[in-house]
Amino acid sequence: MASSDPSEWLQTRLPKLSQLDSLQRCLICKDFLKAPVITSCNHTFCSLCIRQHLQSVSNCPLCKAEQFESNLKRVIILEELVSCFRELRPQLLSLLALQDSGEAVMEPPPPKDIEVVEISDDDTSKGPDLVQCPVCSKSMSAKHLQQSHLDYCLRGEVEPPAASALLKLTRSAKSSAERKRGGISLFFLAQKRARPSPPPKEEINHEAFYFNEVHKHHHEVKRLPKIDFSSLSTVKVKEKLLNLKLLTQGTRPQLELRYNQFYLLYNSNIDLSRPASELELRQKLNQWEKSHQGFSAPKAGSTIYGDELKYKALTDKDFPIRGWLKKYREEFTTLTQTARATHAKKKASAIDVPSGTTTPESTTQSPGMTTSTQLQSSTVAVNEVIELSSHELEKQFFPDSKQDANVAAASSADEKPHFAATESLSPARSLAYLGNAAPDSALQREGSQKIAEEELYDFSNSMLA
Amino acid sequence: MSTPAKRRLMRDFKRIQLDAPSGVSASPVPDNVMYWNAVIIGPADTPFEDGTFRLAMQFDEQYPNKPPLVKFLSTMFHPNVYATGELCLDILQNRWSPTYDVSSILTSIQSLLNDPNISSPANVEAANLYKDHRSQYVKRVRETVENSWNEDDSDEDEDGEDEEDDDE
Repeated sequence: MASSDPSEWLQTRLPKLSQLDSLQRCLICKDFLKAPVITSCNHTFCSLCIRQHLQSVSNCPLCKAEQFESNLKRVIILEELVSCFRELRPQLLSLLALQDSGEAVMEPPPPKDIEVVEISDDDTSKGPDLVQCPVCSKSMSAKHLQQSHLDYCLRGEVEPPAASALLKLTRSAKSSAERKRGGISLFFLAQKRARPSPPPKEEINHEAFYFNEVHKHHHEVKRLPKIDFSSLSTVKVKEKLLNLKLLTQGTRPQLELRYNQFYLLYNSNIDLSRPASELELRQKLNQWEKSHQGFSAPKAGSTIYGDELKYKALTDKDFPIRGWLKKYREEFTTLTQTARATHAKKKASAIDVPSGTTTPESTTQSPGMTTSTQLQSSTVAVNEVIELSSHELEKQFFPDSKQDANVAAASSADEKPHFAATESLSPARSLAYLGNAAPDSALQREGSQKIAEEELYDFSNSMLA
Repeated sequence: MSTPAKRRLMRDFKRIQLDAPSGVSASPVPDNVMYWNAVIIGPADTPFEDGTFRLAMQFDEQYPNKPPLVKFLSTMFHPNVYATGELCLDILQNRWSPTYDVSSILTSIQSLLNDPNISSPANVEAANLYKDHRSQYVKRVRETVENSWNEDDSDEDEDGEDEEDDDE
């Protein structure tokens, strides 16, 4: 299960791919769209995600327009586009990786001290000091999980065995760029050696599927109906489950939960170009039951809060705030530092943008010297240069700044327009979640326009001088 | 075991690490991805400026179809925050949408700080002072800001190098 994030593209030679990446994701699960369906308000989600949402609320999660399951339509071409992109993604990422940006790249640093950790698939090996990876469920020390394993796991990669990590270490004398490349190839080598390669996945020709194999686009299966349980006896419910080859044990609420979940799995499966078998669906259902609280006996010995903090929900009246703060003091210290850093960075970049664009010439001339007539005539110049994009303008001003590899400094001619865009992207995006993206992004645009205008003034002033 | 909720939370985590909104940070507690700690820095040019407010979040397997429980652990003085630290924010209740993630929740809470909704206050005193005695309100808020620094013993040491040394 590959876990990835659109922002991975920001550190490549084509940062704009993060938008392409982002647009192919479901807004609910944030993963790539799976069996995409479109609502009557023209928003797209994974079939399963939106069906699940519509079970409790009859509106579009994005625009809140009234929405019903019966309106959902499959978007075949989007599914093919997404799978195509997903297949290409790892290759594209490595092909477009910035070669020599060094520390600026937000890649996880190589683990400082390499510890050899036995990673076992066996759940029973979970000792007192081991924690489970929340992604792949492997057990390991918390330190190893946080410092190394999670990065690999989230990228959907297999963590290189400790042996290859040691190999990497012996090469650490070489230049960082070389080491990086060495590291990657070693990773693949190690993987090859470690296990016989899995049978190659059947290559799917998405183009042929979409254009030529039209007969495969629609499946000859009916959707499961919604059941009004209030009018059904338990015997009847069990009968229905039995017809679907589902388990019939459990309490009445469990039977209903089971049917409803299978209903979701089944109906969303039909929206896939290449649906899973019913057997697979039943396995998924069993998996789901294992993790659903409606099916589990109250767990004993939860370690969530440590011993003294057990079983406390945040809303409990006697939730031990002091104890919590003490237990996680180190975490909070780190979080405070991180939050302060981003806070300071945004502050600094807000100041940097206008000042960074001031040319040496324009700084030598005091702005106070400019008379109003000069300003008026300068507007002519402004109109002339307005043809130039701010991008090109900066190129004129900073022909050499490209060598500045520090992306964070964001003063390089090529990086900067992009950087400003991504800076404004994140607040805009988070506000988009809140359903008022339009006014905000308009504001952002206005802001950057204003800056561009200021630049033009500086520019024309310096020309006149 | 990996579940949709856990996978989503790991995505949220990755998101906030790679592309953090200004002045907020969050991470799951070391042994359970369903419980998160978070810090919000008080926004600049507001009475909350530079406060380091701590929060905890609790998710369940229904996330993101259900909102998490969110609670301030730092003492707050705000019209929409109860004495218990729980907060009254529409997007965490009836206006929740499964499209929200940890980043957007924290950003909303951050902007709630200086933009309280005083029509349905959780802290009546704070709401009244905010309406009628703004300077007193600001004074009370500044007190909580200073308290938020004191909660972290190692805060005075900006490098945080000897945080291990000062165990009480």
